[in-house]
Amino acid sequence: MTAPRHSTRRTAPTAGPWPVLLGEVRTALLRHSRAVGVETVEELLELAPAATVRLTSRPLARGVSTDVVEGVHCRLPSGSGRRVEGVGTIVSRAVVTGGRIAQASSRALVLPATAPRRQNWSAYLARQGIIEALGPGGGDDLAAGFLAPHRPDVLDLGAVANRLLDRVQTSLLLDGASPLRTTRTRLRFVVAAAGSGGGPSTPAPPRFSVDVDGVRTLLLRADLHGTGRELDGAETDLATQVQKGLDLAEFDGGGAAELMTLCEDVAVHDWLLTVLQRLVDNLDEAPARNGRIERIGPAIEQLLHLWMPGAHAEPELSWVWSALEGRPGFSRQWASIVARIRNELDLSILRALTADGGQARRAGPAEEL
Amino acid sequence: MIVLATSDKGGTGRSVTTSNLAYRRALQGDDVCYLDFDFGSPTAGAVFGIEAAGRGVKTGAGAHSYLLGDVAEPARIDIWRESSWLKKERPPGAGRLVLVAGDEGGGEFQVQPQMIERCQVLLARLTEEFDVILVDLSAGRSYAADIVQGATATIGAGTPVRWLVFHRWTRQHILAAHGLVFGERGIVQNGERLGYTREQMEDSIRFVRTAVQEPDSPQLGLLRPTQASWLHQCHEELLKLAAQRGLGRSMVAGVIPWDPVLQWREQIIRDLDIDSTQIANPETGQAFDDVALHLTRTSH
Repeated sequence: MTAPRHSTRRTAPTAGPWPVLLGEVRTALLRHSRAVGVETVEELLELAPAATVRLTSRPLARGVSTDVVEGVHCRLPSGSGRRVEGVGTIVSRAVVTGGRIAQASSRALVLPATAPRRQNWSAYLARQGIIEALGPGGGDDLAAGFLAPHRPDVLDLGAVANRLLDRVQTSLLLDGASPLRTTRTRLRFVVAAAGSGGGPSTPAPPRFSVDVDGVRTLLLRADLHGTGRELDGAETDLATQVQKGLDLAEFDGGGAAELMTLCEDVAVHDWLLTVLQRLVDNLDEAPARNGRIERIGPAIEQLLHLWMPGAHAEPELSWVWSALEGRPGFSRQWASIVARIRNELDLSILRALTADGGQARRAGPAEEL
Repeated sequence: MIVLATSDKGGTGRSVTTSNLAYRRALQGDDVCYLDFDFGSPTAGAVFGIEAAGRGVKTGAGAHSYLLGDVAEPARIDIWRESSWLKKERPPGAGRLVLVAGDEGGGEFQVQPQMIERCQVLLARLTEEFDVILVDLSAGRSYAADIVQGATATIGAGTPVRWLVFHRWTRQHILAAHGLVFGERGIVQNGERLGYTREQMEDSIRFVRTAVQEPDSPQLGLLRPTQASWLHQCHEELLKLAAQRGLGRSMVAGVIPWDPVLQWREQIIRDLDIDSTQIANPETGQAFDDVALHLTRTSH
């Protein structure tokens, strides 16, 4: 029923390049009456006692929790429906932007297994955010399966992220009095290794789409090396490299966290667009017209200034935002929404003024008498 | 706002009235969610005209399965689109109208702390999205009611919680409704145990009288004079009893008149049923509209 709009799905899976970074971001309005301050953000994101929360204040306040690591052993998604087991860990974190937007994201970098059999947990736990795939199929098959509608009993990064977001949203620090109703958005992303053929010249443009269920998909091809080593190519190569003692922790740290930040940033802006678009979409529907204009108030006060695409992106990933501004054109849509809101406000002020004026004119002669 | 709908006994028309309130409130422009927590008999699907959820959903993804921890999120049904009574699209100006249905063959269960936590998470998620969440509880005291009351106690002061207690307009129902609210281990006492004051609890509870036949209603025009005067006397006595038992006028959120449509085919009453086919009485639609509009009113 809900065929995804991406074209990467293949019926005959090929090896496809490894590794593949999978992730999902859930975005919501913080359940609070107003934007919260830095101290509250820090306390909200302190997911474990004395865990460090990274806080930035420029160009926009942003807090990021420490990574939460969870062990998983489950079936991995597969576009062709193959049975591929995954063992390893996923990394999740919570983010608060502008004291107002709450997010949780989960990710895992999937690599082919280094050993044919499952190892001790300690081996997996030492490499945070890495899942080893035990079974046939390549990176493309995995990506296609991940972007297709979710199937039960398969790795569910969205559910993990959602639980973490629930933890933030049900915190007793929040008063629960959100000034406007918004829907949580789901952004799934896949970052595939940039392949050996393309070279470092021009990366393939990112693909962003919204499918029928409201799931957003971001598909990127990026340098997943981080360390500068060549890791693309056939899985055997990588397996050999891993056996040779490739530092996987360095490997992950070299790219996944930055890519995560980028995807969270895309998710924040997509969410802002979604919320504001819905507010203006219903504006001219008759019965509740006045009420609806009032409903925009909180969005103007609390959300409009949060638009800052690419504010926290690493310079080497800025090409992704540039491409997204071209297509689908986030800032173009935003500008059009903001203009619409301004017009509506001007109109409503004008209406109020002319209504008052009318009364004043009527009252005028009476006063003279 | 979270509205908890309960009733003293079965057969008060709680589910059908609550469904109609959800429908009317959405038409008034709010985003509304109907959460079916009547686990023994989740019939909201039928009232909304949603065949696939007539007696709860069969997919194992209903509210009951969610509380048991079987699914990460209960399934949602877009009532505007799925209802066979409605036009398959959201009417202009109306808010969203979503049903979180129960599970077919759900039944009651013992309360476990994780269920209260799951319920709290679900309610918090829904309050992000919806202006009004109507939770339909079963009649009388139930585990579901305990879970929800526990869950709402820590939902945050910014999310008001209201109770609507439905009862029929008879002596027995008034006494039973009084017991459910003010009695031993009743709603007020439970609330006090959870840290609310008695005043806060009483402020949050309102009664809805259902299937009421007012003595001077035109429907009763055919009564013999002796019957009419007897009915008047009964009505006066009930008013007195209700006032004595804390169910007096200041505590009443609305009075739903007796209506053939509600009696014989529990369903949403659309304007079409009142204006065109005229199977339902205009007073009924008006009563629903009034209660729906005043749901968020704090004091009476």
